[in-house]
Amino acid sequence: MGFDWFTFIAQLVNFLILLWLLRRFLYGPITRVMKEWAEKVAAGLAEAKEREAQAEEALASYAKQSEELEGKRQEILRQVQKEAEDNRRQFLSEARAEVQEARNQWQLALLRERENFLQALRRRSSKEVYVAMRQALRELADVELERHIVTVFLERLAALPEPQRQKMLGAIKHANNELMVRSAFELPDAEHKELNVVLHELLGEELKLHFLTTPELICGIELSAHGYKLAWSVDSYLSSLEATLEQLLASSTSLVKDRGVGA
Amino acid sequence: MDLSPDAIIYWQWGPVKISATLVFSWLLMALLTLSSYLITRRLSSSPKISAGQNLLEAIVSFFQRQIREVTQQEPEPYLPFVGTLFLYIGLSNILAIVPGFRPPTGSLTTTAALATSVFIAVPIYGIAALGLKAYLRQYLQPSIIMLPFTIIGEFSRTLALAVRLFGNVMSGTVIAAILLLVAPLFFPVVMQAFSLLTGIIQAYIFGILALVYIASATEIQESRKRPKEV
Repeated sequence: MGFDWFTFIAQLVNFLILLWLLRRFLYGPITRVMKEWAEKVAAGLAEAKEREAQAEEALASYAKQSEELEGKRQEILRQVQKEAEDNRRQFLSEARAEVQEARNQWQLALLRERENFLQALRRRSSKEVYVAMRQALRELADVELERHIVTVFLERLAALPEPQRQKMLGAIKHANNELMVRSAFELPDAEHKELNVVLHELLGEELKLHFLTTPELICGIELSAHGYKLAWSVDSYLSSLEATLEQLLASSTSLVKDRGVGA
Repeated sequence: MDLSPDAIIYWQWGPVKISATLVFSWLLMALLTLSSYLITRRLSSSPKISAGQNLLEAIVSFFQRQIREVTQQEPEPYLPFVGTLFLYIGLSNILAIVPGFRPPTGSLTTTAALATSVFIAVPIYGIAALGLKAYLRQYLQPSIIMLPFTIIGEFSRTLALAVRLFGNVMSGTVIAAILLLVAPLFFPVVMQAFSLLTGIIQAYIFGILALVYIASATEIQESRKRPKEV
């Protein structure tokens, strides 16, 4: 077993060749690929880290937005609740005012109705009183009474103030000197003549008198020419009384109206 | 019985001898190169890789890890040299169990050639790392008196590398041969299996020692540079 130098040199060369071959076909490509893979993994990890950071940022941003939205929501909710409460109070006060108004209206209507009723009652009672009075006077009235009335009428006619007399004369002139003399009963001759004389004296000789019997006068006498009327009769008294009553009732109604408005 | 593959000569012309050592070395070289080529021509950097690529990546990562641990440096400059040593010796020792295969590592010429390559590589790496002057100066450290011992050390460790590997591989073959004579059944099989383990261990030892020698040649630079940096 000797040492073969040729084989030794050849093996040395062989080893160098193998070194070169493996460097070319094994270590070079494998280390390159491993490096690529390591770089890929590192890049992937870096990207993942970046994405994680982005995701965390996005999460933080969403959390912040959500918080803001929650805050806004609470704010809006508070506002809406406040508005609702204000509206409720307003509606309530309006409803109260409406109810008060309706109650006032109703009370006014009730008052008016009562007043109307009372007025109708008054009117009716006064009418009844008037009718009863008229009936009573009609029953009392007779020629004798009328004669007394004519006597008083003539006295009053004689004492008629000058302006009224002139007014009457004007009216008679317009009516072609015709004067209507109405009485409830047929006048007795004596009164008839006296009236004729007095009227001619007072109002002129050319005066033409027309005598008429009107039972509506109840008792009394009435002179009329072209819208001018001079009367002294129970009917005129009663009419005057009725007018006064009407006036009183009207004033009481206006009083009720005033009170209604004031209430 | 021939103990060394050097003794088996297929063809001779003067000093030029084509022995079994050379033939099986070429076979190993062809096997390693072809398989590497077949695997690495279709490499992929995607998550899905072939089984061959996976195997090569595992082996290369193992080398890189070992180199990084021993040298405390980046493994790239040392990987091809140390890796090739390990692969060549390891595969040669593993294939020893194949009937008819004569491992080239069982010849002293091969182990001597490998040890010599380490002997050459150490100053090359040292000079590449330190520069010629600084590398040569380390032979004078700590004292010029140490120079002869350092030189003797360089040679003796190279010799030790060569003989250690040769002795281990040859002994395995010799033991197997002796056992075949003494107890031809079963026992040689166990010894063959055992020789697989020792073969891998020897490849590992050879590679690691080469690495240690190279590292020691480059690490001096580091330790000398540090005080300058301060």
